[in-house]
Amino acid sequence: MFRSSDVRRPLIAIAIVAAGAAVYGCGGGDAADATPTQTTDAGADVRGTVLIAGRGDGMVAHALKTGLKAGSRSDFDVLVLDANANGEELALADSALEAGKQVVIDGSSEADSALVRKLAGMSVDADAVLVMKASDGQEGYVVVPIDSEARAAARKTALAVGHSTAASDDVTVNTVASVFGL
Amino acid sequence: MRNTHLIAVAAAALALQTGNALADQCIPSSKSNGLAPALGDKDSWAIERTQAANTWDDWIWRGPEFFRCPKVGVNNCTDSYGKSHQQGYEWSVGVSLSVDKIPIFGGLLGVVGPSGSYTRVNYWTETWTRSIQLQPGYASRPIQVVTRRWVGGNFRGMQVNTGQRCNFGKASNEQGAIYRWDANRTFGRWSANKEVGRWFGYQTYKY
Repeated sequence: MFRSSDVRRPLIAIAIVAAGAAVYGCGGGDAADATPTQTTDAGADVRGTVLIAGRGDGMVAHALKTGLKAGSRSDFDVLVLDANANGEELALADSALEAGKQVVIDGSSEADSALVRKLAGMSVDADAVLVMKASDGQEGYVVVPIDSEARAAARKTALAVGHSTAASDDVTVNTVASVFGL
Repeated sequence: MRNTHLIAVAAAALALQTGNALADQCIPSSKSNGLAPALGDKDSWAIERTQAANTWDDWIWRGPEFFRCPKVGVNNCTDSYGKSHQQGYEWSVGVSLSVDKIPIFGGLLGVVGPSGSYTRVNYWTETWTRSIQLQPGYASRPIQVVTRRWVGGNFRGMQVNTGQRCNFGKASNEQGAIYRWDANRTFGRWSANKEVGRWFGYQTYKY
């Protein structure tokens, strides 16, 4: 979900009727068709950059160290920190959010939750939490819970009980992989 | 016996890989836009050529504001939306295709990959049962979001007119031409906003 990553590269399937031009599809909800301002070759590495602050020993830090490119304090897309972050790093988080970047609080202690509330006004029960400014002209912030693989698997099983089993219906859980498209 | 079986499998695999490359086809004038020099084909496939440097978030569902934490008199508030929501959505949106007036033989330009169709419609059910804590003066809504990336490209594989004439069909004398499959010829353009991530969360804001 960070603004510059695509590790998965699904192959393509399209069907159009006859020759000529055809236009269809206009997604879900807001579905504004974003015209890209910058494009690059399909094979280019467009993964985002990550800056790890604080202890750097949480599950998100571990996953993004290898899943994204290394960033620097002056150039990153995702900032990962925890409740041990120092004042300078917290200031960096504030300015990152204001600039439309993503900030991950990589932990589930009460101190971690308090930090999420300080940044976004709200915290949620999860192993880690992603915070960013709301997009598409919406106000406020977006708070995204991120679960460990084990917790996500248990949650998926629980949600599947009594759930519609239509082939096209899907129960999604938020893991580091699904949230960041790794 | 076993070797024969392996050869058959290998031959089948080769046929799958080369598609109709092995067989020249007599295609009538009425289905080739007057024996055009080259035709798209239902076996042509899409190639990704370009991609956007950045992704964008498509809010496919923005739920109701379910809670407001009072502005005064509390340290913070605990709540849970506690409901499920099922949302239909498309794996890719804004799909745009152009084949530059090149006729497509076979009626359909069908390019099938393991990830399914670009216009596949899914239903996604999410349940917001988590405990949340709000600061005084903040409100919250549930959201479902698909992260998308713009991608564009063209199509590869065409039927090429060999210049050799033929009669199409046994009962018809309609003139045709022999076309030969060229897997390297490219044509047309397409673009789409494809799914690269999907997640649920909460929007929170001061009220």
